[in-house]
Amino acid sequence: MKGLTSIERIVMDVLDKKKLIFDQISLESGIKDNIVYNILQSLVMREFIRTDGFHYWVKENLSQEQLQELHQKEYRRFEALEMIEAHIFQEKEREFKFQRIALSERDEKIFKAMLYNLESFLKDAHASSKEITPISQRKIIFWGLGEHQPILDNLIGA
Amino acid sequence: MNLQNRTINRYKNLFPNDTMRETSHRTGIQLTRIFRLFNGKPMKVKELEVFDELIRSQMKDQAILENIYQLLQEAEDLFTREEMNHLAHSLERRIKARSFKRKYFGYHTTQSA
Repeated sequence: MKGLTSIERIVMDVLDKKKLIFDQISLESGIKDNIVYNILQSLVMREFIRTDGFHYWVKENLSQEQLQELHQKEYRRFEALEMIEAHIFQEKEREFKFQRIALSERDEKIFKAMLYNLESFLKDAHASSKEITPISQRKIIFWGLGEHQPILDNLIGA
Repeated sequence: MNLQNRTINRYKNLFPNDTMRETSHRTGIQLTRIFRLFNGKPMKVKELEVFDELIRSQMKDQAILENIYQLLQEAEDLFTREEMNHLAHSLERRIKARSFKRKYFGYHTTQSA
């Protein structure tokens, strides 16, 4: 399979610029030991990460093909979709709103400005807390704005 | 994966909270024998049938699988090649994510070892 699954991505993110032992990876990612073990084996076999049998780290100089697998927009879309879907179907502690809204041109501009502010706020918040907040304790936040017609066209395959 | 492993994995997915004792009770197979089977000892045909019967009765899987096959045939007629690829990739990703839950038999060195 090309690309990374969402949970492989989490492990890759945990290892970002770090050399960690197995227990640290499990703790940081919030993923159970046996699952982390299997993910690590998979990533080692695909040569995304290296190990000395004790520490794990992201391979230096990933090939062009590997970089493409990591960053290709199509694969990132699947990851986002999986995380959002998992969130929507989660029963507890869930906050999710999806609405079809009538927006005047003026209100749309205001809304886009709010989104810009939101993004800016989140960027700053992340920058100030990322060093002290392990991935397992981070929040999943998503937002967006779409036009009715192109979404509809996509749904019916027009 | 061979038939025995597949059967045991499906059983575990359908009865995720069962202890070996409960599995023994449910199947009528002795506890020590269950332990051996879960650790790779070859199953007798009779034992395989017991597990298979439990799996079938639990999820009525034939109906669900037939429905999936039928839907895939319809999708093949209606979807573009790109959409079919999307569907396949999506399913493949889900299967891969779940496959990480499978029991491993590997060896790992820990700090204290």
